[in-house]
Amino acid sequence: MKKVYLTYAAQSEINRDSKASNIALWRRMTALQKAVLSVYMQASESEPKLFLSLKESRAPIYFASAYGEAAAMYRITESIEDNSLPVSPKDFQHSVLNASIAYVSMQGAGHASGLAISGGFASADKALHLAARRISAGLDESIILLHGHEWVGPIESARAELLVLSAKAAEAKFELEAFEESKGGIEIDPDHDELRDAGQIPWILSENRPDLIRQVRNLYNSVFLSRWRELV
Amino acid sequence: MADIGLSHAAVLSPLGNSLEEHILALTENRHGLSRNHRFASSIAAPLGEINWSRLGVEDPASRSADDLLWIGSQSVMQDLLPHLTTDPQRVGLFVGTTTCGVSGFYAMNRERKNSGVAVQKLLNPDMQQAFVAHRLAEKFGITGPVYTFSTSCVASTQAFLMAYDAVAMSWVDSAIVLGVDVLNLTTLHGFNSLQLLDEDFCKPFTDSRKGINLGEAIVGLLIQRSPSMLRIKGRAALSEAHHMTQPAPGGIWMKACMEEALASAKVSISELDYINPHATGTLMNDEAEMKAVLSLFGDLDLCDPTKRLSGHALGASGALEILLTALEMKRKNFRFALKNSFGFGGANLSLVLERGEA
Repeated sequence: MKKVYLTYAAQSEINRDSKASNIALWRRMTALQKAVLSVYMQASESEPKLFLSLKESRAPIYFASAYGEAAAMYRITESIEDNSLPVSPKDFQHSVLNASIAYVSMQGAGHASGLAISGGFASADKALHLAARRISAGLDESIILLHGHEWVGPIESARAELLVLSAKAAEAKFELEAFEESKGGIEIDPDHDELRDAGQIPWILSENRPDLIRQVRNLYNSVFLSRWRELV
Repeated sequence: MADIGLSHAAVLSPLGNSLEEHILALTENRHGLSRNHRFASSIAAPLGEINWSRLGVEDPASRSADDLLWIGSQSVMQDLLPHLTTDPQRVGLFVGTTTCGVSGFYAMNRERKNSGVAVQKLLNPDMQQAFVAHRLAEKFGITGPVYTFSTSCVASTQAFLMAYDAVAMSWVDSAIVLGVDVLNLTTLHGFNSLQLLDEDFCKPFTDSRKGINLGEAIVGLLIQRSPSMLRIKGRAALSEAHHMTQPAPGGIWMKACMEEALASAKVSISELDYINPHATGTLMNDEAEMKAVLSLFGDLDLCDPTKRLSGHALGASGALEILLTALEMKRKNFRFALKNSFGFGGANLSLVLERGEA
């Protein structure tokens, strides 16, 4: 079994000053897609050699989000409920969960395969554990993990984080020492205010670093434990 | 130790509610599309509907998409579970879907209008695409990994691959793959807004094609180490990195995907017996895929575009068509087949499949 390392980590809100905002498709993108592209562009500009290597090796790209393209879905369903047809074709094609991956691919990541993962509130941890399993088993050497959330409202607001996970220890910052899923014993009330408030998104990163010990519980009593070791 | 493969399947689709009915539909080349469907008041185009009345749902038009998805998924799981050869704690559930959770958005819209509460405060777990997978795991006591993939129309093909690998790396001993997508107003109006629907019965991979007929399907595929219907021999996955909905001209990345899958399988073009293309019936996507196949194979003779029979079941199409491929391989004694799945966002997947002994 191979060890799993964190080679790069970053977070970003929508960056309207980045090169991403100059691309022709920017105005068509949702807030979530803009945040994801913003963090990818920030990452690839800060570590060009690493991201060129990831592009050339076609490291898979995972995208995880609790609610995905919620604003686009809200507009489409509101349009249908109000009988205000046709629905926006732009919203429809941008409502797929892998739309962010498509823009990242078009804007630099190249032809790597993309996986869009929905795991409820534990989406990021599910994606992290899946990536770690596959790297540990030798099925993939590196994986780019993107996790994002959009706050639906009159003002565009979204945030995304990017992690590069790899079997290569060189220049790694953290090692993922343990990752496991277990069944917890505490019942969760799905109507609890804290869970209904989608602002409570369990980001993996805080100030571009993972918490060394992380436990996230989903509504179905699964606990996702991740334990990182910081490398000197 | 037996090889990993697709050992059992259960299915609900416009072609029937059992494997036997699907075999008959293939044998008779009989489609399951109709204009007499539950959305006839909204859309005149033919659609492929599951026979819900046989599941005890007398008026599917009155039920939400997620209700129907839940009912159908339970039925498929109940059919599959007796064939598990392993402990439920060593079983994983891998779901591919694009529309699970959509009903929650309609309910949210209504609540917002009634209450005036901001949308952000009304997002709830029923709107997450993973909710059916988690509920099924809870109901059927599956305590292994539970994953939902929603990568547009390749979702259940991806779920199939991930499930296969999960067994191969001994993360689980058995994996249930579910491809689930149910007809709903969002996809009907969405594809209509893109002008991709055919008002007549679709004719994919023909010069007279005019678009898609949408369909629905709930497909369960059981992957474990036992005598199997088929096995994965080779694979390829890539992104076109070209456009959100249009393939690159000439189908160059579709061709690249197929070539890579054949190379990984070490199967030559001349050894292939059957191709189940993605073949939705649209002008551009079919043109690209046809060009890709022609450039590799010289003709389309091996191609069997089964969406002409079932309609396009979106995220469930991959699982449905892998199953149809398995049934055709057995029926016609084919050894190797190629299955293509292509989706919005330029997601491309190609599998080379080998017939099993079951």
